[in-house]
Amino acid sequence: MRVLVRYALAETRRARGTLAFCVVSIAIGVFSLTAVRGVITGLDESLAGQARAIIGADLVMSGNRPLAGPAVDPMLADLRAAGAVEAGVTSFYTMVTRTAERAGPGAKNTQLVRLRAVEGSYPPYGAIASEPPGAIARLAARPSLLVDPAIARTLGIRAGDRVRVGALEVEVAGELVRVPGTPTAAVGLAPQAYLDAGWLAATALVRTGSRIQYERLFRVPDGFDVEGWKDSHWDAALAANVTISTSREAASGLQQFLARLSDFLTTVGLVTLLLGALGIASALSVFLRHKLDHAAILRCLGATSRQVGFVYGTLAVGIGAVGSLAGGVLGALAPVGVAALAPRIGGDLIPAELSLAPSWIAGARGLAVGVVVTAVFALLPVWRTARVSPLRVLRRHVEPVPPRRRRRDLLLGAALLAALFAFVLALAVVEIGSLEVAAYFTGAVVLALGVLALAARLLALAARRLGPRLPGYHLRQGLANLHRPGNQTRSTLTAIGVGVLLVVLIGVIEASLQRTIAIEDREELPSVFLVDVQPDERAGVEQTIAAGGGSDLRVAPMIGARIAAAGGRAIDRTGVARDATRRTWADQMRTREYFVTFREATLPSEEVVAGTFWRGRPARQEVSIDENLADNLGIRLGDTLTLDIQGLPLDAVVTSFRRIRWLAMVPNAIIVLSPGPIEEAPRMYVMSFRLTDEARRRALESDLAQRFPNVSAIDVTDAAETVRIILDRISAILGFLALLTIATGAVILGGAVAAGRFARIREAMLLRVLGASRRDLRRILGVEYAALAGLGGLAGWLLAEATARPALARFFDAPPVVPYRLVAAVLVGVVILNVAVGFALSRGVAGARPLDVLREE
Amino acid sequence: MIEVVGLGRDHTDGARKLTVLDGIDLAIADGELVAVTGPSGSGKSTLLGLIAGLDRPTRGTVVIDGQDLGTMSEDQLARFRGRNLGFVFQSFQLIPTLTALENVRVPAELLGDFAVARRAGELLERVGLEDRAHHYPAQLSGGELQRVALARASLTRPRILLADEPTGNLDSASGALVLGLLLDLNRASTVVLVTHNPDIAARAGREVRLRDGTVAEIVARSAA
Repeated sequence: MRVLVRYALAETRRARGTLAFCVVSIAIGVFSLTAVRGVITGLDESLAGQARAIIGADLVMSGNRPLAGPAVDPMLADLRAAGAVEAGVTSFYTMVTRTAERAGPGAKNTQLVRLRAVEGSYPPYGAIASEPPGAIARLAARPSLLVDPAIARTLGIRAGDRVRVGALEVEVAGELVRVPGTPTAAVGLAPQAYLDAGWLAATALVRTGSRIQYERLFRVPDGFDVEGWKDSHWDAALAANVTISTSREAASGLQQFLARLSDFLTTVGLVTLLLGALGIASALSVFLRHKLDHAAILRCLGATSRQVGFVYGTLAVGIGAVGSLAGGVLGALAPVGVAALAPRIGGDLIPAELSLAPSWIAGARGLAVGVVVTAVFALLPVWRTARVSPLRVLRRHVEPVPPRRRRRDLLLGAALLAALFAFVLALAVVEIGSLEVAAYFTGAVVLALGVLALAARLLALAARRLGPRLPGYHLRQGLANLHRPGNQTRSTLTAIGVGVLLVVLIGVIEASLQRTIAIEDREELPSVFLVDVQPDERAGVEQTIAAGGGSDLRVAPMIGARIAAAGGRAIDRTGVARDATRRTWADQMRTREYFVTFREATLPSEEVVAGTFWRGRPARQEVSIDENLADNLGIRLGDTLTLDIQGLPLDAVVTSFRRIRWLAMVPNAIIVLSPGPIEEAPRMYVMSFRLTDEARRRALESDLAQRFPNVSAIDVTDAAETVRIILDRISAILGFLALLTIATGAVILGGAVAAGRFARIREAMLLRVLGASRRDLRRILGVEYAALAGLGGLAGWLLAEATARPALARFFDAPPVVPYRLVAAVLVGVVILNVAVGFALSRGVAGARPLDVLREE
Repeated sequence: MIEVVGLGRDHTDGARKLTVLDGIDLAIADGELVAVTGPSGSGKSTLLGLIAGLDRPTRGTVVIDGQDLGTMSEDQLARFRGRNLGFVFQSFQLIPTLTALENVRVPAELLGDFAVARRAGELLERVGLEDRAHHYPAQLSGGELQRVALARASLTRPRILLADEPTGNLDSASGALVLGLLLDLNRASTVVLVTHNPDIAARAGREVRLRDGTVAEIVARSAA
């Protein structure tokens, strides 16, 4: 066996350049997969390690009503009896208005904030750092507010200034420096402000219908079984619409987001890895074709096909191991690099101190995956080499394989290919962790590779059929290279196609999302949303908007409700995951509070996908629901939906399902009732209006905040800016991964060109002998490389559009925007790159002396 | 003892059948030197490939020392070649990524016989290439390449040596040297030699003349 390994090593002696391409292409793939896993695992561990600090407690009870009553009181008493340290937080969105005269340039008068009124030993764990220090402890002494620096910046205020919160005028106690469990980035739609709960009543903001969250936070004594306590009280709490969470679930939302981000980035990483593996398979295929003579000599001298397979299999796995080791080590170190770059790439959005260390486990996993992937992808070319006929030592052109053996080989090849895709599916399941997503991924990979292989075949066919008829010797020769034996058409076209596919796909998604949030350019969108408008304020608010220049006013009444039963079956809450990190969308739909509305007709921003929406005021109580809700809760047309509206049941017949375009930003609701008895329920209004002139809009927002302190105004431009900042950071990460894919694509291109170089040199030298100049040779190669890049790019672009359109419609509800300038730049760039890489690696072809090469032959 | 009975080989090119070799009967005794001659396309190399088990006959049998090659699998044939046959080719067929010494060792190493593999240096010395042992094929002349190939062919002391135009690519001086070495090897091995060269054929005990895939004539001579 050692001897065979030595032969394998010997085969690298005169091919280090070609094999280096293989090593680099697998290294990049393993790097991207390892880096994603290492960074996400590191983030997850950072969050888990600081769970108590993030949540600020061991246990939190929360609900939309004050936490008191026959169900909740015994629980609170139980915890108090156990000696738990307790704190309370009442939080909601509201406006803070500047009353001070002094303000910096560009400062606004009002700002939407997330007000947190705290009481007791808040926070039970950790401390809120502020400037001046210790300000949180002084909030109870007099009406004062501790504000996020973003609020201070927006309103142009500082400690000692006065602002108004609802009906209460307060002093600015200072600025927050670091709040446990809160990201340092000031990109939130509504930055936080802290008030002592003792002053809450004086703000007059807590009214019926207001959307308020009540929380009790507990630090329990050592030895107290938090999870056990949660488990034993879960059902009673849920029945009272109270959620219990523990520090373990502290950042569950973020962890779920990270899990989804991880799935997505892992998918992109897998594409890079598979591209690298295809590169290896393709480069090895060409490389091993040149080694057939060596394999035949070995067979002639007594080597069994297994021994020959071992030699070249070892070579392939060795290349995979070296590349995977390099990629694994670099990927394992990636978390350290990310920690250094964290503030610029979104780390400040994470509500925990990032403690990212090298992830050697991810590195080892990457190494293993890389080696296995290489081995699997090298199977086919190695198998072909192992089966070489020893007769080749006597005659190069061995008789074609007889039909029976050809059929058997075809069947074996097809079985190997099927096994290869089964392996890709298994790999995707292991890496992504979801069979459904993995199946989609594998399907997409098969489809993309199939389309690109078909494009390559068509190109070769077209070159064969049309090439000879074309004018110009160079054009004919260049195109002929696309279908000659030993051509690189499929591998090059696949590399270019997949690279362009990813770049254009990310470009289209990014452009479409940017367009969606480009509020200023979209005339149909509102500028400001108002929430918590009370019925007695409605007329006044409408008048103020009209007087302030607002137009296109839309008003929707909103009533808090929960779903009690559907189709005669009570909503089953027993199956709701108790662990917040595992809670699904469907779980949330069963337990959450909905804001339902009523109206007489549909809106332009929604579409009835099943059933019929009522007109006017039907005699019976009807309801129309969002199609996703129907899907998740198994609700059918004709079912009776029972809503719990602030303790009173309301039955309504489901008569239609709607698909809502939320990005149209029109006040809407998942559940819409027909007008009737619901009109008597306590409600608040959501309004939207349009006012593009910023100065007038700010003035109107300020006026509304002065006159209606409990109404929260959400400036859509500010919201869009927040989304844009987050989107920019995500697209930076995506862009980086796309770059890795392009790098892999470029390496594969290089590998393909280098692997085909020897054959090209032989042909070129014959042409040189027959009178072709170097310029002739360069022109022939130029035609070949440009044609490959052009069609590969074109196929990649079309595939990208075909993928982006349904993805945008399904996941983002956004119309596609194709950045044609980017597409054109990518296509031209790819052609130039391919021709440049081709020329660079083929310079020996045009420059070599015929005699040298022919003598070498 | 090599026994060839009713040996034939057809090639198919689409629907067309081409008979390359037909009705060959031949018996070669141990220690014989047999030259196979004939014009291009007469089937010389095909016959050699079939005797070596590199190819499968369409009809007939090749039996070497009582073993019918037709009953063996590809891997059994490979093992058989490794143990019993040595090869010398017109185009040398050395592995360019191995040094001269490494090339010579290959047959023994494949059999796992490392004691024999250690004789490789000695054999290179015998063919006058001890100072070229660590050179790669690309660094050797045609004559040197063929001497390396001869050293390789003789390493495992094969019972049969098959040579396909061994001097075809060599100048006359190198050709003579190689032929001399080949004749030396004939003292221990049966040699079947394909050649165009009548002078070389004249050195063989028997000359099998092929024409159009059949034996046209067998000329027996006294050993050279």
